[in-house]
Amino acid sequence: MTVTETDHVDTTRDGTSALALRGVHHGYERAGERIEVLRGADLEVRPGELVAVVGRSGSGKSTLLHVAGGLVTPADGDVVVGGRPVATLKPTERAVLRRRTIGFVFQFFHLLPHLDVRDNVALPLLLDGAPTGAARRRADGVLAAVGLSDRADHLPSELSGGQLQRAAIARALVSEPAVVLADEPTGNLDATTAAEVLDLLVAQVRDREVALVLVTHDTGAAARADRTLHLLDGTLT
Amino acid sequence: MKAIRLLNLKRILELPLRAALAVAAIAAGSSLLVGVLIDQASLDRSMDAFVAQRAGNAELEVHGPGGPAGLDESVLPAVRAVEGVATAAPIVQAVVIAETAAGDERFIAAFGVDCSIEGVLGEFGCDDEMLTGLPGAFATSRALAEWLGADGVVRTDAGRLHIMNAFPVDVLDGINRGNVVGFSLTDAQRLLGHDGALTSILIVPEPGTDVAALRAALQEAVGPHNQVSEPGTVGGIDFAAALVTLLLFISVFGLAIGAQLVHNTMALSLEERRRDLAVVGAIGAPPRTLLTGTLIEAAALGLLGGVLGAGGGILVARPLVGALSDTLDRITGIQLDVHVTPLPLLAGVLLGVATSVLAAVGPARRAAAMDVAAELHGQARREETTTARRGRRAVAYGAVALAGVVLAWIGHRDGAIEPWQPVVAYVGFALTAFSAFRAVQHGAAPFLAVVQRAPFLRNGAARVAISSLVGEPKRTGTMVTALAAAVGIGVLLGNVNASIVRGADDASARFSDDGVIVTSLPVNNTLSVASRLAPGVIDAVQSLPVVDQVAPNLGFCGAHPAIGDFCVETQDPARTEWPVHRGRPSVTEVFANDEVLIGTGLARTRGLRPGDTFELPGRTGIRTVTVGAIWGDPDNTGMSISIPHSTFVDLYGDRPASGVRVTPVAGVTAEELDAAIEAAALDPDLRSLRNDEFNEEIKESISSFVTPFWALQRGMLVVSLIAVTSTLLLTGIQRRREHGLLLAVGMAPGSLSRMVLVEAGVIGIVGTIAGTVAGGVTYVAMILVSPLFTGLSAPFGFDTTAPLVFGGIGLVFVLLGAALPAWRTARLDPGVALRYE
Repeated sequence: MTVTETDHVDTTRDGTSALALRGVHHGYERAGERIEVLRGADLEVRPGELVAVVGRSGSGKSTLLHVAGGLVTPADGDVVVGGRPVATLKPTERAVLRRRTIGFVFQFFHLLPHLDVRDNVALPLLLDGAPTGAARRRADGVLAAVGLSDRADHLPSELSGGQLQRAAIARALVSEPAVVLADEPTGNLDATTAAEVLDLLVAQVRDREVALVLVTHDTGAAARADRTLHLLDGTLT
Repeated sequence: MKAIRLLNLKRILELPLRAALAVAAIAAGSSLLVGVLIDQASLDRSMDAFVAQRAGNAELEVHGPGGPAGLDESVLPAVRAVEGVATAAPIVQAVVIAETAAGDERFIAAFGVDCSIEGVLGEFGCDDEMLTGLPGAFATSRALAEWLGADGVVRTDAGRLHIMNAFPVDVLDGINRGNVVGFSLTDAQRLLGHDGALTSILIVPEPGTDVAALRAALQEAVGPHNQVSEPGTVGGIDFAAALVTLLLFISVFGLAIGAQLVHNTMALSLEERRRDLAVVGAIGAPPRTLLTGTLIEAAALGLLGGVLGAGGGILVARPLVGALSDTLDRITGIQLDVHVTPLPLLAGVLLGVATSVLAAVGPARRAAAMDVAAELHGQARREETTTARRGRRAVAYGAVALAGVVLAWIGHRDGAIEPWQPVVAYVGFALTAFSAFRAVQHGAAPFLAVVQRAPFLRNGAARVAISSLVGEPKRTGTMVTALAAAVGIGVLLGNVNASIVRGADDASARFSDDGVIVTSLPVNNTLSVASRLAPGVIDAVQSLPVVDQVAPNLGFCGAHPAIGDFCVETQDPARTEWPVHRGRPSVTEVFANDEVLIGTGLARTRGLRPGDTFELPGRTGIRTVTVGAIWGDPDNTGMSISIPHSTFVDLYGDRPASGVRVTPVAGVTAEELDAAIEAAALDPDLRSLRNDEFNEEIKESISSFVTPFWALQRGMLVVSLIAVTSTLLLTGIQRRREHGLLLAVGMAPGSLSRMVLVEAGVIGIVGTIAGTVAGGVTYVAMILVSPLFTGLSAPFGFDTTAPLVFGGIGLVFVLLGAALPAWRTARLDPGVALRYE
């Protein structure tokens, strides 16, 4: 993997949006039946903007994030991230886009169990070819920002749920992305810890002027966003 | 690369047990192969060293077509008269038996020279008068003299020579580990069956002579029936090469089993960390990184396994070289040393890496192609094929395996005389071996799906266990195949070895039982040994009143451009009747028409058919002979030409016989004949063998021949059992979370342990059955192919104890492999097991 692999991608188009979804349709087969999850979803997120997406279970919130993150190619519609149209990118180019422009935070943290916290956080940089020392130093900086400096050498199995999610937030922010996509980041935490983690996430993205798309059931969490959108019948309102 | 180091290589260090299991499998597999490659290198180096020591300064060698005594001595003056020849040193060379007073025997090289040998080896104060002045005196190495002791003897065609007649010569200690004796040329001709003959003439050219031109001039001088070539050895090499090829063929199985385990390890390991890989993909690792990382991880395991395998190969090589040397020394007199050269070791390491990487390609590609979003969301569909589809695949593979047997049969039919037949036979065997075990892999779960309908399996731990196995057909197939491979290898090689021994038994039983064999030699592979009964002894046997006829057994192996490698043997029409594949139906009829019989190997490689003529080089000229029949004579891997005794004497001179067939006068039984010959005490080395004794010796000889195969079989069983145990351990690790869930929903720890053990027991039983069937089918294909290697048609005969023995051993290993997971399962903390991180 080299840094120049996405250099040919048009970065001027939609330069004002951190993330844009236009007329996105997507669905899947289940037990022989076609289920349309997204039916012309539109979303525009400006740099530094916090957007919450709420909806019932099974409404397609996670699918929306996977489409936005280039993990899933929509059946129809456009997805533009950091000015780059995702549909035209090859799998390798999408991977480069994800590690440089997008940060993911998952409900179940998803840290790699055999790597210590520092290396988990540094991983997107290492995947991008950064020197190990530099990547680890940058990871230490972000870990300090999320209050986990003293846990950098620990394995994930030695951390609490709140600490794991802080580490996951640090990993999402380490490559200074244009947008962070957070899928129920407090869904697996108790109320107190959830509030702390949400405070941290919001503070960090505000501080770094990173856009955040927050998928959540929690109306209190959604209230912290600049805008709240409802995913209903496959469209965002 | 930094990411790969973190994601893949660091993981190897974090999970050493899994890595160690894969490394052990590759190491075991490659050590067998490295051992055989070292065997080959040792053979080559030992031969080369012997040839170089023997050749000295000589650049050319003249030899005849008739084996060790194949060059008529009358060519020597003609050779010496050729311009450009500085030295023409006549050589007599043979194998003789050295025997201690305690009866320990050793096959050693024997040479006869005159003082012209100084032109080849350099001056050492040779005195022709001294050499010939003491008839029967001989030179020996100090090492051999020491081994023989004060009362040792060297046995020759003219009887025993006491060690007291020997004078030690230091330079001989540097040749063939000192296992060498030297005679004057005239003594050697008399003592080593070279009456009027030489083995060869070593040529040292005059300085500045064009060697190619000299070679042409020499060829002109010695006639087309003789040959001029670079100095080399005579006979025996092809036999050894065939043995090594067969060993190599079998050892590749070992590596394939190692590859299967790496495949299992990588597949299970990647299955276990699918979610981790999905996370890595989500945060920006391209599919290529996942693919490359997995392959590098496999390469690292393969590298370590290959290095350890190279070390193990050195250990494996020692008994293999020993067994090969024991078989070869009676043919060439050459003792093999273990030569560990870099090439086999390097080949072992590279093969370890290549095998491991190739075995990981499939799992790595599947990992790289995973649906990251679905995996992260817990909606990924497992790549499981339905039970019905797996059943259909098993049937299809089974059909291909049987088709392979049919191809092997077509390739083996009628002596495999046609040149295309070996290819068809090998393809058939490969198809059978591959497809039979693939059928097991696919058929295990469908088979259990049928079994679980049995009423007695509808309750308790057995029901849960079998349901679990049926529900995970891929994993079940992997475990069953690991055990089936172990049992199958045991069944396959156990039966093949037994078949070869049985085939030899059948072959020797073809000899008519109305007489005895009288010989002074072991009964097999001793055509080159010049420790035969003296003509006077045979005359004395003939003169016994109970003896009617004495039929000598003569033969040799040689090479000539007119026919390539070949062997010639006399045939007593009343003695043996191998099956005739084509041509006249009996030896008597062939000889009556002044024709010869040839083996299937010669017919195939030279394209000879009944009615065809070919040039058979003799000691004084080339004779054109006609093929009367092609028959299944297994001697010399089917490369023999059988001719009447009179023709042999005409072509190659009268030579001492390695054995004679003695028939009694009317009214005397074989037992009475045997007793009368032994009671006559005509020679201390004479042995009279009844048919049953002869058969038993042949059988013992063949058994020692297959010793390396037994060694390989045990080695492969170890590889297979490591594979079984490690696969079960890996599966136990992988199912930790599933077991935690069962505990969480109320299953008692004891029941869970029982379930794990019941699963192992089911795997053990199904694996044994499947291994027996797959190994049995592969065995049928292998005995159809084996005559192409050995020349001997091995009869089919299934040993029913093999599945029980190897299945029992396999079951023990399976239960051992399941014991640790079962023990750990009973102590599992469900809370810990169900945690995501």
